Amino acid sequence: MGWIVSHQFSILTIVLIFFPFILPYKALATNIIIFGLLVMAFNILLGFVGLLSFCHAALFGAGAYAMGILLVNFKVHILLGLLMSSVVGGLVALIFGTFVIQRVGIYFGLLTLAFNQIAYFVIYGMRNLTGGDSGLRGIFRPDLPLGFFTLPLGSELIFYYFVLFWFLLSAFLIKRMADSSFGKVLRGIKENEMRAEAIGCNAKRFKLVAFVLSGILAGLAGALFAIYVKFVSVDIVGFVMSGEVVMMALLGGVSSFYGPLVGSAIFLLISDILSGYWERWMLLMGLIFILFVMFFREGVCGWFEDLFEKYVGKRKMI
Amino acid sequence: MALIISQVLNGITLGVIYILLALGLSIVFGMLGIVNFAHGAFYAIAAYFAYTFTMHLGNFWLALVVIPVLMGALGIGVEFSILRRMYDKEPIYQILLTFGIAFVVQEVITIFWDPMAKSLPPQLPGIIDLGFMFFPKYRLFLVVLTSGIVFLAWLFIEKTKYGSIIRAGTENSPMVNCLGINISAVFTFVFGFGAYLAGLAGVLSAPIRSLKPYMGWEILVTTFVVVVIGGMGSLSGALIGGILIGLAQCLTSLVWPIGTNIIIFILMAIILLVRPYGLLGRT
Repeated sequence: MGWIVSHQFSILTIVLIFFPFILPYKALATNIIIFGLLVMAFNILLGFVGLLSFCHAALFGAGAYAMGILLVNFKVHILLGLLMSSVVGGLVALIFGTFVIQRVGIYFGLLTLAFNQIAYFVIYGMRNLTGGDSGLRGIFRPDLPLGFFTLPLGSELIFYYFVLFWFLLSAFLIKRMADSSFGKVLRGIKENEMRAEAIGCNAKRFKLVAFVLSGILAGLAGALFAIYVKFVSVDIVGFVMSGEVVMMALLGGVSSFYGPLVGSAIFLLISDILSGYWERWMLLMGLIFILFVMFFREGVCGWFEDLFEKYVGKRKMI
Repeated sequence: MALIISQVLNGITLGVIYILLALGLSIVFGMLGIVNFAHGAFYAIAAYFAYTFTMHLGNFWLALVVIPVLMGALGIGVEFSILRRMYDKEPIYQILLTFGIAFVVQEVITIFWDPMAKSLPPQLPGIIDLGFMFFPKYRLFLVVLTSGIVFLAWLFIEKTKYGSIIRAGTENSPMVNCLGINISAVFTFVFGFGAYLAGLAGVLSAPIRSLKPYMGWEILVTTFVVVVIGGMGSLSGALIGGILIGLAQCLTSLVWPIGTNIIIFILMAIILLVRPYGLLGRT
């Protein structure tokens, strides 16, 4: 069974290629990997550095609004749009990060929450650019010119593979980062920040880099979301959205590489199924979340990895 | 000038509500080491209870007595049944648990009361002549009552035997336990007391604010700002922070209406950079 561990990335790719066909509709698969990317970005902070961020809605929203504004006002090339939105996500993270990484523990969480609210009210107030509370309208999904032919992103399936490309690229980068010395330093900071400082690593600088990286990927996810729904509502910058990201991460498992994707899939599948029957499905989601916090803190993936380790005896799949 | 004075008075009215909330949040943090994300939810559901109670029984003043006690009981129930199982876990999971509770409470509000904004008929209608300006009676009552409650809470915590147990528990709870005091009962009581104060703030603000299911989240974030500015776990910090934020919001609305919501976060960022543990917090 060792090949599962060594070929896990290829297996993930194959599973995700067939993913849209096992779901009730293809757009749901797109939604799941977009949020999987966002939660993965979020989990760079929680999983590696142990920082609980409540501002990922703002970083996601920054990318979404950047993409929307660039498309509506300047009709930019889709790839340029994605690039610039990621940069915007990274810049916002740099601004937030400069302040929030000064503090640790709960103060970090509360500061990120405050910055999320600043972003919310700024976007809400900039009516001319963002549309305020009526949202940003008129976003379209441009086709992707590839020189000799044009990829029609209007097709839900082709758009899914387009998003999947970005998801896998980001996942690959995060995985490489996790195995690199940079990733090891981050984990060292999580285990014992004072000791990491004592052996000469500038913990704050490492945290800031992780924060900006997280912001870039969250911005990318936001940009993909903007062309996925072709509309940006100010709700996606709200505090509740940040909370949902936290929920997804915990459901999937924060100490596992695949946790964010699994968490996003569980959350969105449950919401898709339940919201058809009951408008207040979030109540059930909240109760499930409380149960996870109390009894399954390792999440679905953590639980699965424990089983895997117990019966197959291989190292964990991180 | 009259406009500024009236905004200062409005700021104080707003500030005393923040003080009530920050006091509860701060005591719970100081004692239990938990940042209670469900604090705003207690406030919100108390306001909705007050609405239904007043609409059906026609007596707001009875609601003001009964509902905070009910919220205190709810707080005690939550601490006793779930929260105490989390004390030995990482702080992040304690935050997430209270976050989940807040989520559930907010959904319960939307289920039992529809999402449409509601408002309670004004209580104590009429205005009072302060000599230099007129001031709504209810707001004056609010300021006087809250000041009284804050004073009593201060007396209780600083001057009574039970208060000294709470203060000692804030410093070193295992030691207090060793001295033969049932610290887990004290924890339960403190959490209930925090919920009581949140309930009181909720009922008191019901007649002057419109009720929305999201009101708990909104006030929670503001209360965090108040507590972080004043210093986590500091009672006098809650007083100063509450008044400061109330005034900042009302005075900003004179010159920069959109900035009302932003100014408090800017204030918080500046204060945290200059004094990392808040105005009166300790390291």
